[in-house]
Amino acid sequence: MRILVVDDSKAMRMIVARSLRQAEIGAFEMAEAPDGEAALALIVGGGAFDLVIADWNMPKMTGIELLTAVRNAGLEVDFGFVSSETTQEFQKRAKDAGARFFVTKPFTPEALRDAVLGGRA
Amino acid sequence: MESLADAVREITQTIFVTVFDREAYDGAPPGDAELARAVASWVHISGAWDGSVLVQLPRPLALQLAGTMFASDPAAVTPEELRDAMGEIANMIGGNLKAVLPAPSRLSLPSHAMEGLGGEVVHVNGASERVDLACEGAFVVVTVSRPREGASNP
Repeated sequence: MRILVVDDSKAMRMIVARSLRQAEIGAFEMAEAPDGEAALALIVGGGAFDLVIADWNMPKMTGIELLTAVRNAGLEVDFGFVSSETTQEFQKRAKDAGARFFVTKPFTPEALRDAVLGGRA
Repeated sequence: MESLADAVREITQTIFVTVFDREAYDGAPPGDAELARAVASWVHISGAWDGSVLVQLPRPLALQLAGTMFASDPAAVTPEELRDAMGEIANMIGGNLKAVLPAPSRLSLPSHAMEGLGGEVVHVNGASERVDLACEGAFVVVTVSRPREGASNP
């Protein structure tokens, strides 16, 4: 599985990577981007990602703007959020835009695993 | 209904356990000089509720926490990594606090003061609630401030 982790915090990108390893989700390769703009370039540039895990609040392009841009580009890559935004409103907006899951920070490796693996064929 | 201070305390304690595997417990307030030198980060919340969430830690504890986040020796934590880690702590507290505040509102990206705030006023001081916690004997201060009447967040 190829996973793109998008967060303006390098610490959080590392924590997501560590959590995915601890949660034993299976073999994966991980790429990183510090904002939505950089992530979009990787995705439309043929990154062939199976999953994008994005923060919501980021400079240049937010996570929801990234998801919207990805869908507008006709790309159906699996997408989830890991964010400090914890309200139902944000979770609904994410779902409506086509995100499969929404994990709130702080999270446990188990919560991330359940979200990443949940609903996958 | 849970008070703002109770919510801040609970959120901060959850973050410390979940992210850092450390306990944050009720602690004595630090002296003014210690607090002025503390490493600080803050986020603004604006919208149906306006205010700021400021987190202040002594530098050694901040380096320990950053070291945990980056899986590195605290002595090897770079200034950029320290800013990143502190910002993420403020971001998590602010984001989770937003859920118990009137909606809709927007969370800013974090700001930092790595050499301490000194006498600088980084947010518009109006009514504030301060929670004094401690972790491994070091202070963890979280302050939630509201703007003065008629003022707004930067």
